Amino acid sequence: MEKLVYYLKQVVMNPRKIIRLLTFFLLAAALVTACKKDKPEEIQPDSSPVQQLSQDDNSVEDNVDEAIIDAGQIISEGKLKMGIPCGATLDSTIIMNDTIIHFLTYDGLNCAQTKYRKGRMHIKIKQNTHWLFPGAFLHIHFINYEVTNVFTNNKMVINGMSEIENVSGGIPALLGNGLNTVIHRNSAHVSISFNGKPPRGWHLAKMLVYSGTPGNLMLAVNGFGVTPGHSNLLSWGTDRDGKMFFTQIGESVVFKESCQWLPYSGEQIYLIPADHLKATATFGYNSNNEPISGSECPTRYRLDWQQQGHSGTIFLPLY
Amino acid sequence: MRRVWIHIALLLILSACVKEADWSVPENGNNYIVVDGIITSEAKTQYIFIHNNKAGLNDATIPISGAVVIISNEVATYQLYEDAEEAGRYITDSIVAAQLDKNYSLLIFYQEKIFSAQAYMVTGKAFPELSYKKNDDDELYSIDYVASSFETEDPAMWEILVDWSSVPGYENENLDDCMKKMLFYTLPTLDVSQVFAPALEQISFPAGSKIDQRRYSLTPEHAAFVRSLLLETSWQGGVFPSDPANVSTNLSDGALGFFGVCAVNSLSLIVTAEKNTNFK
Repeated sequence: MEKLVYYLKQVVMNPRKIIRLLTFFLLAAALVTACKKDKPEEIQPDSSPVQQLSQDDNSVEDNVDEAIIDAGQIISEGKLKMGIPCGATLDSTIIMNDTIIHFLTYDGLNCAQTKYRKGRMHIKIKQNTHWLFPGAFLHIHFINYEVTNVFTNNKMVINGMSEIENVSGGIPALLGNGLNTVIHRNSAHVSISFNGKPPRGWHLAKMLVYSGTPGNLMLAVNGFGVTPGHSNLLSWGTDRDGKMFFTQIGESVVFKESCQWLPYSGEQIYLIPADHLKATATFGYNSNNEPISGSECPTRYRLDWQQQGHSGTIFLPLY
Repeated sequence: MRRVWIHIALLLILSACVKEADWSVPENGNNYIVVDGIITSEAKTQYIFIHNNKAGLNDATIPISGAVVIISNEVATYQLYEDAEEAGRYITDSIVAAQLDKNYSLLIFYQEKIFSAQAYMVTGKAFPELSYKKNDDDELYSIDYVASSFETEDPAMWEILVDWSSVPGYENENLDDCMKKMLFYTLPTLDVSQVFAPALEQISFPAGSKIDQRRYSLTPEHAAFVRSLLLETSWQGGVFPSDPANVSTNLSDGALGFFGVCAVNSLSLIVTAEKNTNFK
């Protein structure tokens, strides 16, 4: 028993010692906390949002352009009448007030057999207006217009309106027969749903300048959209991740018929402000990441990106 | 002293329990067919490899010829033909691209036996490019970071092709010495043998090299196959090796390997001294 009492006396500390020890620990804790400094969080650079945007924007433009060509085909008249687009049915044509409306339904492959299209399109043109004449306007109303890439099975559903102005008069099919250029302007406000994801707003302000001769046609694309702080916009809106984006044309983007209408040259600039991400796409590169020359057709484009002091250059496939 | 006697007694008892057993293993091993087959979302001639298993790790591959190979989904059937230039390589006779929302079946008819496998594709995604860094001891570069090896979602296989055969000074070198392929994986699992895996060979390349980076999306089943394969190969020999076990497969009737369908995203870059060195 004596031993136990002695042991307890040894173990139990003097209260003054405890207070001193506690004070020491508190001071140490305060010092350590004070020394802890919040480092600014370093953003990990990531070019993938702008890669995705450049591919999505190309797909949106390609799908809308194809629909515009179909619309031109439907309203062509006389000798230029070209029939119904592949995979589509012309349900009816009515005249409402002073407007001719063509009701088109899609359910089939496009002529190139690369896309499966479903949904509806209403094509409107003012009565007594000839699409071939300068200043003519054409309106396209997309209603659940669904385009599926048969290779990747990627789906895009387009809803909204597109207004096309025939600035110069004529159509690309007439080039080479006394007509040197055909200029069209497309202003579109559509919502796009990528692979069943929530729809995103997409604006297009695209000037299309066709030149050359059939078989060797060229298309130069420029942007004319303007928003506060941005000009020469080709497109803007929210990307598939819900972030605001802007696409500008730095140098006219040229497409060649002889190269399956792939972008042959030019510069396009992409901005995603929320990610502090800016990228310039330069078109016209081959599989060795070298600029194409002569009659060579492009297979890749170059993407120079910048993000908060970081930068990189990559080459992406065109298809 | 009593404890010592107890330990000695235990040692004797346990040693007596060890019994030698004979296990007859055929000298050349059993004959299995091994399938190395991935079809992708790229529009191209698709192919798969079929060969026999090897008895030794460094033995030459024994290709299997004369098999009938068919790949099908709900709407299409493709018969694959043996490549005249490479035995054991079976190719489609047209351009084919694997599609999402389709279920693929592989059917192999060989020596009166039928082997089959089912697979599907998960969506691919854009990715940030890899980073590389200059070596400390020479003017060459090496891969610094490709992707995280662990991610709960979106497992992937990364194929890195480095080519410096066109870089001035290397044009006359042997092509095999100037082109290297590396594989990296992002898996939804983290194994201790993975964390303490043996170091890999470092590939060095000069400025001006072309790097093609490709991301293959993996289904959970495909990722499980890759994990079991790595457990037996690259992750063996480290500080915490796992017990040997059979590699999983989705092939029937005793065939080995895996038949997978992958969405592929790709990009390319050129190695330069100025760029791409400042992030990880």
